[in-house]
Amino acid sequence: MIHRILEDKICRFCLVFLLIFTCAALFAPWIAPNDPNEIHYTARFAKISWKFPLGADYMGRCILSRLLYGARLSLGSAAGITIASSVSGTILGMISGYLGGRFDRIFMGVCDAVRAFPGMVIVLVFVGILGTGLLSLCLGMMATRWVWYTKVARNLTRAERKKEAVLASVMAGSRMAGILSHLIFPAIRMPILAIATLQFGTALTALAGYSFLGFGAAPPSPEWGMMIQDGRSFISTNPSMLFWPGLCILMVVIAANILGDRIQEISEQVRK
Amino acid sequence: MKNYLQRKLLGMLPLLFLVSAAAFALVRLMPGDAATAYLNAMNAPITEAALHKVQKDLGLDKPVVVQYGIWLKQALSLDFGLSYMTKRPVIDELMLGFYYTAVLTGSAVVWIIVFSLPLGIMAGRRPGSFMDQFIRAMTFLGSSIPSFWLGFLLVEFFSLRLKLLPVQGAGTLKNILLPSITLACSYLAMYTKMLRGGIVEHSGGTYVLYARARGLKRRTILWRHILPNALNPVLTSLGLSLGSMLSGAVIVENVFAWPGMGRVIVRAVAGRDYPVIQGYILVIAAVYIVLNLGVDILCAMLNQRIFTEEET
Repeated sequence: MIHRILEDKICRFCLVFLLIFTCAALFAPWIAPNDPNEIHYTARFAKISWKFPLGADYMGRCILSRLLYGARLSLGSAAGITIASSVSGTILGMISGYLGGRFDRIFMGVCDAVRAFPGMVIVLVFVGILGTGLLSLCLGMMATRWVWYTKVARNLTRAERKKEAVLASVMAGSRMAGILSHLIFPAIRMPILAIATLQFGTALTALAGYSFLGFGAAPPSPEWGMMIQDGRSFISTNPSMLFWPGLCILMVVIAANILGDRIQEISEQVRK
Repeated sequence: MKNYLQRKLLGMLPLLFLVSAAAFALVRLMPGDAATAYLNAMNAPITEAALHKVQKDLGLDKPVVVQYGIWLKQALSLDFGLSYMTKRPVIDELMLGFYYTAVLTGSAVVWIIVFSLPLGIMAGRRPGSFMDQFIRAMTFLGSSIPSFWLGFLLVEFFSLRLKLLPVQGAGTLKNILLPSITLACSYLAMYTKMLRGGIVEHSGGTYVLYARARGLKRRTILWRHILPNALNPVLTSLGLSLGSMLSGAVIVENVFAWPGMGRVIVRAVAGRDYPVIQGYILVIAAVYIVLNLGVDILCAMLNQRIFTEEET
């Protein structure tokens, strides 16, 4: 089914777009024109130039270099959160849906409880206990995000469970792990992938938002939300400081949203 | 109906217990012990005698379960203790902010209704049309734009360039315009999309075909038959969104220096003011849970189908 995504024009466009950002993050040390934390006092608020392709911030640090290094933090954390929560949530959901019965009922109750929780409250608990920082933010966000996959994975698994192929392998004595990974997972991965893609976008925005509030990365690290926070004091004189990181977030999130939406559409078409 | 409500209400109890336990655990699990942190926050010298006294005062020498009981009893009577930083009762600080946050959230809801209803109908009425494509593009933009960044863009344009609206502060109607739109933006996009989807989906229903066959006008079918059905999921989510908007308001409040609860909590986190963090968690969670319950009840009253579908 993956080939259907790759064949789709819109998906391909978004994927290439996201790939460019990923490469920029991966190869930041080689692409970045300057050290992201090096201070050039003479170049405070420098205009766009060859030395500072997007200008410099209030300390004379190269904005482009900071964006590139920031991509590692922002995109990396968002991807980490999404991967960890989608994998754990999907596995839990599949097991719950497969087993059914009382366990399933109780576990779904727990999931509803977690879902009814404002994510911010959990993040605050983690930040309160572990102190501010990207790690406690990520943990706090993961603590509530897995549940979105669980519900979907569980419902899809329950539908798959009734299919003949699954019943046959249950009767043939296959182990649960084998059935889940070979029969059920391939059938439900597309909707899960769609949610994960959409969640990547929301994770990135939320992460930047919390960092903006000062719950996340500590200065001088060039996380995108932090950069916007840095730039807010200079909004009237130098709006470019907060313009670029915001634009980066916006572009990545739009690409992720369109891609996720499209994958969802494709998976619905396949289903029919 | 009564059964359903009972089950919903009972379901809330473990949730409330979990929240309170999490808020309580926050102070128990924080780095360093609570007594030292308290003295630090009070700027008092840390001596053996002082530690002992504080432990006694805060009840730290009792078993954890007893401590939790005492703490819960106080919390239930809205006594969250004194803020470490301002030395004022936490509940006073929060309530002052709560009013402003509620005003902000309420205005955002007004924007959501005013915009997403007509936009969703316009897009859903003719799927695939230019209008639909345009609104679709706008919803992608609206749901993707980070709220704090949007806030700054609006400030930059309307306040600094055009000098039409104040940059920050609260009080007048002009003050609330930008913050509430900023807060509403992503939800607005979400609901427009949701409503459009609902209208498109229901337009294909057999009852619509039948209504057409009966000779009803398209307009009547849309307003009387399709829209009520399409609005149903929107209403359910709106309740959920209210809760997340209360916490989402934190960012917007900090962008516009709006004196809501969000300002209080950010200051508290920065200053490790644990009683305030605790109180905030409890208040938000309680509001959230009550809102959810209210929406459930409302939906149950509007839509009897829930009871028959419940068991599937």
